Order: sequence, then C-alpha cells, then structure tokens
Amino acid sequence: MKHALLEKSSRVKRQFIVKISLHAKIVFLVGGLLSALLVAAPYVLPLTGEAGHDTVTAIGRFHIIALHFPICLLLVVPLMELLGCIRPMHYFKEAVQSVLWLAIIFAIGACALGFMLATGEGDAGKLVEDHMWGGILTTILMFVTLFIYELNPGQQRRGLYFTYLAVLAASIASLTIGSHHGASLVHGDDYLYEKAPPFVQSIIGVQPEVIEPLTYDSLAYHSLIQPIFEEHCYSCHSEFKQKGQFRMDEFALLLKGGKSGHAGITASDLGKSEVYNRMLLPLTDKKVMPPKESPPMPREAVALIEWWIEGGASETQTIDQLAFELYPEDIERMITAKVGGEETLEPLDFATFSRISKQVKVEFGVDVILYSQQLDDGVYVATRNAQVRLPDDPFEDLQPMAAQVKSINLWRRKLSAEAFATLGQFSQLAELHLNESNVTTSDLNALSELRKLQTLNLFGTEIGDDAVETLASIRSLRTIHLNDSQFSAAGVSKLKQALPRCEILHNSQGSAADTETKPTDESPADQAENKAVALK
Amino acid sequence: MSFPIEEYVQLETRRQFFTKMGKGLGGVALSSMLANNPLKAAMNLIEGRGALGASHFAPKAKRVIYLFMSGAPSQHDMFDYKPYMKLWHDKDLPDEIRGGQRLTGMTSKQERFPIASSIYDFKQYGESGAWVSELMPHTAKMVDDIAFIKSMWTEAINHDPAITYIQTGRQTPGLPSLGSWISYGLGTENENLPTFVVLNSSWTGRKDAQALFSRLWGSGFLPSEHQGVAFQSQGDPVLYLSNPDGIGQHTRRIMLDGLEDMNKLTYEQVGDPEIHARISQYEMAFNMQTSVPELTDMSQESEETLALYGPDVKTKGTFAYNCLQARRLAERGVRFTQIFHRGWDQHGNLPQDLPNQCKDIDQPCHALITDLKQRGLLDDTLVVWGGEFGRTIYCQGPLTDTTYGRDHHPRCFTMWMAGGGVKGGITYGETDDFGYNITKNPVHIRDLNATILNQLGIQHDRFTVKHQGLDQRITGVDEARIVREILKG
Repeated sequence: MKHALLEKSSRVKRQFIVKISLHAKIVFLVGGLLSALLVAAPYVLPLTGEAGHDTVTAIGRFHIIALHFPICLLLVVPLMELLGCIRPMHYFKEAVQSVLWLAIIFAIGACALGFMLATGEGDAGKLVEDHMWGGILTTILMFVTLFIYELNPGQQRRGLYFTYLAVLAASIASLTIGSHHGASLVHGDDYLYEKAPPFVQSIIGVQPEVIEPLTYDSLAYHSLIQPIFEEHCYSCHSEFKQKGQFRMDEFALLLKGGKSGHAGITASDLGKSEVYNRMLLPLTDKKVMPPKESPPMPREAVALIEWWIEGGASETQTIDQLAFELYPEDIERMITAKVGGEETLEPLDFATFSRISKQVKVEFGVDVILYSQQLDDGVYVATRNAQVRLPDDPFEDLQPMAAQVKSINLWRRKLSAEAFATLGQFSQLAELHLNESNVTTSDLNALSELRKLQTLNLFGTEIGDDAVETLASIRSLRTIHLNDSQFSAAGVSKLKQALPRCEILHNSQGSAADTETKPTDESPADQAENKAVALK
Repeated sequence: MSFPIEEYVQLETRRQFFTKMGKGLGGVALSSMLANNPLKAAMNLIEGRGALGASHFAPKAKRVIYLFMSGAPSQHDMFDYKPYMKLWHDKDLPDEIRGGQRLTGMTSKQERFPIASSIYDFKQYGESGAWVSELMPHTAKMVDDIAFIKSMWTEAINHDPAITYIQTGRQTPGLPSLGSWISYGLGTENENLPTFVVLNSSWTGRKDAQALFSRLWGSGFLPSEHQGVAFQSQGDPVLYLSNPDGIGQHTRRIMLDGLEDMNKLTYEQVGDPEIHARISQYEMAFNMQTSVPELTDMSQESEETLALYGPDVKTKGTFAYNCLQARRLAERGVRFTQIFHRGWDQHGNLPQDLPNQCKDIDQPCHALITDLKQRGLLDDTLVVWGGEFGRTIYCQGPLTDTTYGRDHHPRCFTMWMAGGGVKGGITYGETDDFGYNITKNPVHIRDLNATILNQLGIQHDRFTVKHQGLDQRITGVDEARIVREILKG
C-alpha cells in the first residue's frame, strides 16, 4: 500500500514536476536579467522632455524600422501553431522556438532604440510612457511565453501547452495595445477612424465633431486661434506629448512657456511671445516652429495669431471685443470669409448667369451685373432701370446664384414687406443700398441672417431709433448711412455703443476734418528762415 | 469657327466688315434674331456690358466724376505750400533750378524771372495735416477724405496740346477721350441717360478763358455713340429734347420705330456701324425725354442739401449747380461725368482773379464729396480734380505789391482724388522748395489715367482697340504705372 501511494504520489508529482531543460534555464536567466534592465531603465533615465544628443536621436530613429520585426515575428507564431496542427505541416510547430527567440532579440533591440529615440527627441507625456510600458511589457511577456514553451519540449503536456498559448495571447494583446499607442504618437489617436465612412464611425461610437458656425460673438481664442494650434502644434505640445516641456492645450501653460524659459505668449507684446517668434524664424533655423519636418505655418494663420496677441491675447473676449483698434484689412477679409460658416459656394458658370440675368432683365428690368471677368468675383444687382412696380418676390429667379450676389441697390424702390424679407437669402451680401426706399424697421429683421453684410445704406428712409436693436444684431456691419433718416442723435450714440467697430454717418456727426489742426510750433516764416540758415 | 456675337460687337469699320463679309455674315444674321430690336440689343448686350463685357478684375469704383479745371490752377497759391519762397520773393529763379525748362512764347522775352511767393496764408488741417491755403476753406475741411498728388507732371506746355493730352492720351487730336474709352469698355448702368455726360460751368475769375473743344469729349475712332453728351448750361439741358407742338410721345415712338426699320434694312445691306450709332442715339434721346427732366428737377432737393452747395447752386450752369447735377447723375448710375470749369489761366492779375475762381469751386467740391459720402455713393464713385498742368513760381509780367501772374509749368502740379477706393488723408509726391521740380514720386498724367482705369477694374494695357495698325490705348505707347500708394488695400 505504501508502494501504491508512493506510485500515485509520484505520478501526481510527475504531473507537476517539470524537467527544466538547459534552454529553459538560459531563457530564465537572460530573460530575467534583461527584463530587470528594461524595467529599471525608465527610472534611471526618465523621460523629462529634454532633448538629448543628436547622435542618440539619429540612432534612435531606427526604432521605427526595427519595431516591425518583433511584431511580425510574434504575430506569425499563432499562425504557425495553427498550421502545425495539420499533420503534413507539423514542422511549423517545431519552428516556433526559433521564431520566438528571434522575436525576442528584435524586441529588445526595438526597445533599446525606442528608448534612445524618446530620450534623444525629448518626448514626454502620458502617451509616450504608455507606449513605452506597453513595449516593455510585451517583451517581458514574450520571455515568459518562450520560457513556458521551453518547459514543455515537444509540447506534450497539455496543461503547459495551453498555459503557453494563453501567455502568447497575452503578449499579443499587450503588443496590440502598445503599438496602437505608438502609432497614435506619430499619427494622432483618430488615425484609424478619421477617414472611415460615417456608418463605420458611428459603429465605433465616434462622436461627430460639432462645428459651431463662426460669428462675431464667438470667442476669439477658441474659435480662431485654438484650431490653428490644434492643427499645427498639438501633435507635439499637448497632453500626451510635451516636446521642450511645452504644453499648449492648456491656456495657462500656453502662456507660461516651456524649457526655453521664455513666455509662450505675452499679451500685447509680440516680442515677448516665443510662440510667435519661433514661427517667424527662417526655415533653416534650428529653433523654427513648426519644425522642418512639418509644413510651415500658413501666412494667414500667422497673421491671425499676430492680431490676437496684439489685441490682448485674451481667452475670454469675443472676436468683436478684442481690444484692437481696427482690424487690418486683410484680417477683416479673413474673418469675414470665415464668419457665416465655411459653406462651399457653388462656382458661378457663365451659362447660368447669362440665362438668369436675361430672365430677370426681361421680366422686371432688374440688372444683374458681373463684377468682373472672373466669375468668382460675383455679381451685383441694380434696380435703376427696373419697372416701377416690383412683385413680392422680385429676386426669386436669382435663387440659383443667390450666393454670388455681393451687392444690391434698391434706391428709391417701393417694395412690399414680403419682398424685403427675401433679402435674407443672399448669404454673401456685403452691401445693401436701401436709400430713399420704403424700408421699415420690421423689414430689417430679415437682414439679421446676413453674416457678411458690411455696408448698409439707409439714407433718407423712415428708419428710426427703434431699429437700434435690429441693427446691432448684424455684427458684421462696418458702415451705416443714416443721414436724413428718422434717427436721432441719441439713437445714433446708442447704436455706436452697440457696434463699436462700425462707422455711422448721421446728420449729428460732424466730419473729422472740420477742425483745424494746431499749427506747428514754428510759424511758417520761422520755418522759412531756418531753411535759409541751413542752406547758407 | 467664329462667334457671331463677338464678331458683331467688333464690327467697327466698314472696311473690317467687308473684309470679313465672306465668313462673317453670321453676326448680322444672328442679330436679327436677337429680340425684336436687334440694334438696341447689340447696344446693351445683356451677357456683356460694353466691349469688355465686364471689367478685367473686380472694380473699386463703378463711376467717375472728373472735375476739370481748365486753364491750369495755380498750385502755389492753393495747395503746394512753399514757405521758403518768402525769402526769395522778387529774386530771380536760379538757373540750376530751372534746369533748362523751355519757356512759353509769353515769357521767353522776359528779362527777369522774379519769384512771386504766394500772398496767401497756408495752414494745416485735419488729422493728416495737409496744407491748404486760405483760398480753399471748404476743401480744407475735407482733407481727410481726399488724396493729394503734388507730383503730377506732363510734357505739354500749352493749353490745347496739354488738355488734349490729359483727355485723350496724345497731344495731337483724333483719339477718343477717357470718358469715351470707359463708355466703350464698360457700357452703361442706366439705359435712359447717356453714359458719358459733360457739364460746362460758368466762372467768375478771368473773363477771357481758354477755349474748350468738343473733341475733348469726343469718341475719336470709337463708335460715336460713346462721345460725351454735353448738357447745355442755359435753357434746356439737351436741345430739342421735348417734342414739337402737335407731336405726342406715342407718335414719336411710332416714328422712331419706323425709322429704325428703315435703318435696319440699310444696316443689313451696308453694315456701317454709324447707322447703329445714330439709331442708338435716337433711342437714347427718346429715353432722355423722360429721364432728363426728372434729372434736372432740383425741386426735390432738401434745403440742407442746397445750402451745402452754397448759393450758386440755384443758378443754372454754375459749378455748384453742376456738382449737384453730377451727384444726381451718380445716383442714376451714369458712368462718367466730367465738369469743366474754365478761367484758371492766371497769367496776370492772380490776386484779383484767383479768389473768385476758388470761390466758384471750393464749397461745391466739399459739398459734392460730403453729399456722395452721406448717400453711400463715395465708396464706388471716383472723384478726380485737376487741370492740365501747373503754374510757375516766378512771376509773369511785372511783379508789384498788389499783383502778379504765373506762366504755364508742366513739370509739377497738384491734383486730388477721392472715393472709389482711394485712400483719404494722404499727400503723395513732393516738389522741391521752389515748387519747380519733383523730388519724390513723379506721377505722369498717363499714370493718372492708368490709375483711374484701374479703379474701374480695367487693366490699361489690356484695354486696346486696333486702329491704324496700332493697339491703341488711352495710356499711349509709353509705360504707365498705377499709383498704388494712394489706393486702399
């Protein structure tokens, strides 16, 4: 009986006694040592975001190539296991050992190079660290996989075999997650689904980006400047990656600056704004931002950032409020172009223009005139030659090219309220001449839909002080003609307060040049004398 | 393959028509299919306006008001302040300053060329600090809206060649005037008024004034419907506009229709574009029967507006009246209005005559700019003021305590421009202390014309008409530059 028990126990023991082969021992030792090194490395040389030597970076850049080897080799192992199940292809299973060894060697190489790259480039941030630990974990798991494989020569023992498969699966899972982080570092985390068709995106659960239409009341920083930074800078200077220890996606950190010690942005002082200065460096300069590898900042973006900084670099002010005297004309144009949504305008073709202008001319006598031979310059509408009575929808025929109409002249026209209401369809309308027409305050309501209206001529109309609110809602206005209208001086000053950027002409406003400037200190005779003296 | 409409529009001379006749009858055939009034349709092709169809690029101005000061206003006494000349009063002009400038026959026999410094006070005005003399107090009020060009120059030294030069681009007559070019190129915005209107003004300065010739607003080799229509300053603005007794509008219309049918037949046989011009002018006259009385009916104008222009506005034919007329023409979309004011040729008696001349124009100019601005017309109306050349710093005739005169001076003179995309409140160009030579930024009169065309969206060197073997253009054969420094944007 003792013998039987011994036998049973030894059988049982045999199940759990694993003969550790030499190979396995080697794997254990080498794997243990290297794993310890890999784990220790990030603590010895932490990723602080300071750039290291250029040579280190140069070698480290081969990480991108090197990482392909362990990935492919590791992924081919399950394939080999599967194929090896087929009798005639049993040799696949035997080859797994060599493949795993190769995979590990390359993995170590890739880790080392990756490490050199990160310290050399000065990467820092959560995403980099996640990727790094993912890579280290994958390498360690590969060691463990190999170790368990070696413990089971010939893969006879089913328990060990399945354990080995499980750990293999784990290392592949770790590989997937780690390399996804790595790819996100380089391409951004929306790389895989960014261009996918919408139904795919909705399956994944991606929230579509809601682009709020831009208006003059939108916050200047959030709607104009931040998108620029997002497009050109966040890939290296945001939550997940902080090159030069500079983070731009938090406003306070944007102002603060990074490793260089200079402030990122200083309100109203371009000279002290490192972000701005770096954009203007010559492309050959080492410090130019965006760096050489990325496309340089477009001039429009630089101009907008310059305007924003000079205007006070505020996070909370709207486009309208930005404390900057007058928009420079090119900024004005840029902002006017952006406001009102980025609608894709149908290009005007001559055949359509020709047909519609003839139709409108013949029907009502309304003139639709091309601004220039470049059809993109749009058209303007004049009613001087039109028949005396215009119908309730005189511009109905213009609907196919409504987006091309930049100016309408309704001088001395008597239109119905319905006719005035149709003016709202001209989304790109910049100038509207309603002088001496029968427009009333309620008719102006249709105009608040117009995002690009800059000039409004209400000379000689019945519009009075009660229109202040409606007019104030058209934030794009830059000139309003109110002479000979029913506006009072008080109404005009209220309107001026509501629209500080708008020039308002009214009988109560004197002309700027009415007063004589003070003569210079020298009287003209003195000036002449001085000149004479100088000549002598 | 030829395009009938293009051909049709380009039928300029009989010679060209006959050369093309073999291949080109498509144009005539098509025209008879266009509307029931083929000639009218051709005149105002809806697809394109004017020979260009549309301007080359987006214009800043849609119309021009040209205030022409015939006789050459004295820039030394009005705008170009030369205080240093006070010390040189009655001293001879140094030869090194004169630099061999040719003299006119009037002063070449003078023994002395004593400098006559201006007796008028100059002050600076507005935010721009532009210098304006006491003779122009109203212009002084609007310096921030206008751009002075102090460095204009020309080669011509006598009136007729000079005024022909600035109007047509060449000193010898025969070429179309600026207004005709623009009418030809861009067409009209108002079918019931002429595209190019000329208003001649009375003056109170020197009684004998330089003559003006109708070729100065003539159409040269361009079709004659593009010539300027000079409104009469006394009586009916356009002669024989109203129907004679016994003929009503309806009868007139029937007559014109019949006449047109007959002319149409002749046109199809002969193809002389002058027939077309004649008919279009008949049609224009018919339309003007209603539009011109409405245009000249000043009773609609408010008292404030009339007060703005000054007391002269109530008298027909004065510069003030014509300025108000010009504003009304601008409202109605007339493309080119030219107001001539004569009497600026102050060879002598300058202190006696010049103040009256200035008084004629000073308040109306200010009123015109202000009026256009208030009505929202200034942004797309280009206003130009100036003469054909300048006047000398030295005196012509005897220099006394009470009087002096100035001779012609082509080397530098002053003009101003406003509206239509021109920056306000700037002074461009500088002359030397003697006001004799340009020291900075010379602007030739062809540069001025190029700039005017530029503001209308026309590229002056692309806007040509082949005539006498040359691609003729208003800016002539030499290079002309656009004065971008005075332009907005």
